[in-house]
Amino acid sequence: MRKLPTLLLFGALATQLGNTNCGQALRDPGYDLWCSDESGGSYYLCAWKVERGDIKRVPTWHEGDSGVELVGTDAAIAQLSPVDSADGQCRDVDGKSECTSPDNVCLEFSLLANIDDNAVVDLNMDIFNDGTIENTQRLPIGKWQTLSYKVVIGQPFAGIRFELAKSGTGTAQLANIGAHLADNCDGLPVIEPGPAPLGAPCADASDCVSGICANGESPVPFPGVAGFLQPVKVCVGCSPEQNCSGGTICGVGDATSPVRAQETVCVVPAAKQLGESCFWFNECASNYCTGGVCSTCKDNTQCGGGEQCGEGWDTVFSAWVCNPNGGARQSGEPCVSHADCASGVCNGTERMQCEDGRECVTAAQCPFKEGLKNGPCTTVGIQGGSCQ
Amino acid sequence: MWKALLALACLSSLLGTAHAEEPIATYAIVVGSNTGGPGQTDLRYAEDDARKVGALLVELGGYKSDQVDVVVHPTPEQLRAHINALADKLNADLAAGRPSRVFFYYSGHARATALDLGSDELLLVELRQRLFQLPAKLTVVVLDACQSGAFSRVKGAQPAADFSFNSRQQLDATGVAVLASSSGSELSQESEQLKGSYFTHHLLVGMRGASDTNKDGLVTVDEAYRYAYNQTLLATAETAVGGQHVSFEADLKGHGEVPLSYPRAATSSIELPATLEGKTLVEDKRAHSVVAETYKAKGAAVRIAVAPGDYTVMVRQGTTLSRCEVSGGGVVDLGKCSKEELVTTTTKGGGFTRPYRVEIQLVLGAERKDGYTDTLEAFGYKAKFLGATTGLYVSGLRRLTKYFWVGGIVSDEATDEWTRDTDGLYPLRFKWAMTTLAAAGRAETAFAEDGFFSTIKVYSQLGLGLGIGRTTLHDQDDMTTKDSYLGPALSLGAGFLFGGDDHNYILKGTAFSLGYQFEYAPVIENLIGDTHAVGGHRLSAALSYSF
Repeated sequence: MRKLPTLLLFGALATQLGNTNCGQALRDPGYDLWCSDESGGSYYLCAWKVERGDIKRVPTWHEGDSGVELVGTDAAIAQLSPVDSADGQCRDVDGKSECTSPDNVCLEFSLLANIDDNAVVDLNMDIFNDGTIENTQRLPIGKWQTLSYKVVIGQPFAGIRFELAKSGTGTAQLANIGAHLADNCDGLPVIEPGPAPLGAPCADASDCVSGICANGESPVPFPGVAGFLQPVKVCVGCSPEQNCSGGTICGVGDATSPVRAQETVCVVPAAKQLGESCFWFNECASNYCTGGVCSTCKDNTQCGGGEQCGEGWDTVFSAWVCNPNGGARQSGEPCVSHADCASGVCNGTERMQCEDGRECVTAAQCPFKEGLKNGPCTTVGIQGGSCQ
Repeated sequence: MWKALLALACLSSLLGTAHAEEPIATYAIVVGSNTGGPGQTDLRYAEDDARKVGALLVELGGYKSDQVDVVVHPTPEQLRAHINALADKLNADLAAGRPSRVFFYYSGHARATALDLGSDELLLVELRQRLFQLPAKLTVVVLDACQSGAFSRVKGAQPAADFSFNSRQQLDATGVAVLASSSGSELSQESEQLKGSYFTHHLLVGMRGASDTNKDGLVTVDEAYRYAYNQTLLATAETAVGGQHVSFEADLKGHGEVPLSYPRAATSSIELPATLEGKTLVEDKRAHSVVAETYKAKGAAVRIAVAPGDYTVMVRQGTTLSRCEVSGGGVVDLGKCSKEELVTTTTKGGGFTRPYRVEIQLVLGAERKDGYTDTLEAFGYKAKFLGATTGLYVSGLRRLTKYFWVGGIVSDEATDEWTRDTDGLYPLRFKWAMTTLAAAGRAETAFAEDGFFSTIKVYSQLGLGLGIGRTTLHDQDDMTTKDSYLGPALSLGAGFLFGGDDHNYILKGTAFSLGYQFEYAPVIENLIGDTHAVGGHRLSAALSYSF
């Protein structure tokens, strides 16, 4: 049953190579997605995250066409792009798509900037979204200048966080920022991604901060890269061959970025509750890890009274339980949904997860889908529950 | 008018042979004054008209040159002095038992109560009193001035009560006759083409023989009046001011015709044959001046006395103009005249047969690129279909000369939308339009004077005015923002015009034109400081109607 995630992964790979939206690497290039709070009072950018300071919606060439002003002496907005090192490697040749191996990626940024003398604005690129700024472009001072930069990023990588950061007391207004795959980057220096964090794609151990590059054991959010790398390799923090210390075992850690796989780290054995992600059975308190999820059974032999072992949630990554949704579980028995219990109540923590099974609170934690938008984060059932 | 004609008929029968059969002293005071009074525009030809009248009196009127006192631009006091001097001569003649006749002519500004002699005026009451008190047997007064008909009205001159008996041989008629160029309320008009006033011109043409209806070689006041009345009214009917009615009043006693001129005495004359019909113009080739302009009716020959010299006689019949060269007088032979088709025919009033034109024009072209559109592109907007602009122009033109028109234009133009896609919201859509109010001048000329190519013209046009720019932006939430701007607008155009005037392509007066147009109206601005000059290169097609 542990093969299911991998099969799903390759199914996804067959339909998608690369992870951009028709070559675009950023959402909302015109800063048009101004959302308002529930009261409708204040506006904020829907596609960009305000990391520091404040922002203000301002008119640009026309009062009806808005840009964004970075307000304060230290302000920054950022957007995480799912662009990866496989983007741009497939092209139409005589009507057929031909793909080459992952290579350096040529990206072009363009934006309009209105920056006065007392402001300093930088365009920062954080490859892997790990907090390390690999490249910075200082935007020149000027009134609504059209600016354009080309950069070449070495492979493999997945995900870049673009940050526009302003310091100083002057005014800095931005509009129409875009990033897209480009050609003609010959001769430009290659920006090598820093050592990859856990869950990032890798070719060999030297790519990884952890020094371990292993086959992917959980769904990866960079199908473009995965499409070229068979088997898929990601940086991991441990492996069964490299024993964890202190009585821990090598298992599934938290999902830290929508552009990286769930981390593989040393975890406390038998600590995970029903419904949590797992690699190995001994990670789970129930001692069953079925389909990458801590379960109460892996087949019918664990169920008595002719009950069937099946998925308790209506999703790909589900906990497996005996007689799912049968309303047969008695008080105190484990459950993953209210329908499992005779009482109709399954006490436990609501499980919210992305489509790849990772736990989430908001959609921003889920891997990207069409249109450079994060996939949904939905409630699937109860995690670690017991019937009332 | 019938009263005037009745008086004239009687007067003519009573006094007609005075020149031929009785020694009579003749005197004339001919006055011209171009200068207008307060609020009046100076006249251009009043003094010239006076000189022409004086010359014709000597040439054909039986006056000796020392009997014709041409007074130009006098003050009231000077005019009084001339009249007093004449009175002295008349008294002397009276004392010598010699009858006398006086001809008084005035061309200049006037109002209903006075002659305007520059900044001063001479009351009509006084003038009338002075003239009527002259000890002459007969006084003929001719006034070519606005509201000159009021001269008679100031003291109730009326037709004589009894002119029923008829004796053309008796010469004992006394009294006054007043011929005025307009009624008491009308304006008298000058013609640039005739280089004189309509009335004086036709009076002189009549005195040259055109009004000699009985062909006796003598033009009487009666004949001159009838002719001048009809020709002046015809000539002025199509002018902007309107028809001008020559008036006549008389207070006469006695019998006989009142001769004004003796064309038969001329050494040279041009005869328009009986078969000739049409508007006829006689031009003195040496002086480049119009000697006579008349409508010649078919049926009787007309003889026009002229000074010896070379003349061009032009006869218009429909759209055909016959041009005849006559040297030293003679009969106009139409068969030997050159003929041409008229492209643009002038009227007697100095205007044109179709002086007004309305035109509807469609334009299409790419919108001008500049910093403003560069900014639009920088902000991600793309123009639909090359950013083409379409527009509608409506213009009204008035013809000033054969080649030049002036008028006004109202136009409206709109660009295709510029759009920018958004990430899942409504696309931003931006467009602009401009309404222009402009004054326009157009020059046009035909490729040929006659034939097919006379129906094809080349034109160029300049328009200057005010542009009212309007922009509309639909944003990502489908909210609409509209702005308006004002600025100067310029348009330059050139092209070809087919038809127009009396050419009958579809309907007389209609024309179709194709051309090129360049427009420039720096009107629309953005917040960055760019100004868009609305316009660019256009193709234009227009349909016009002249009337």
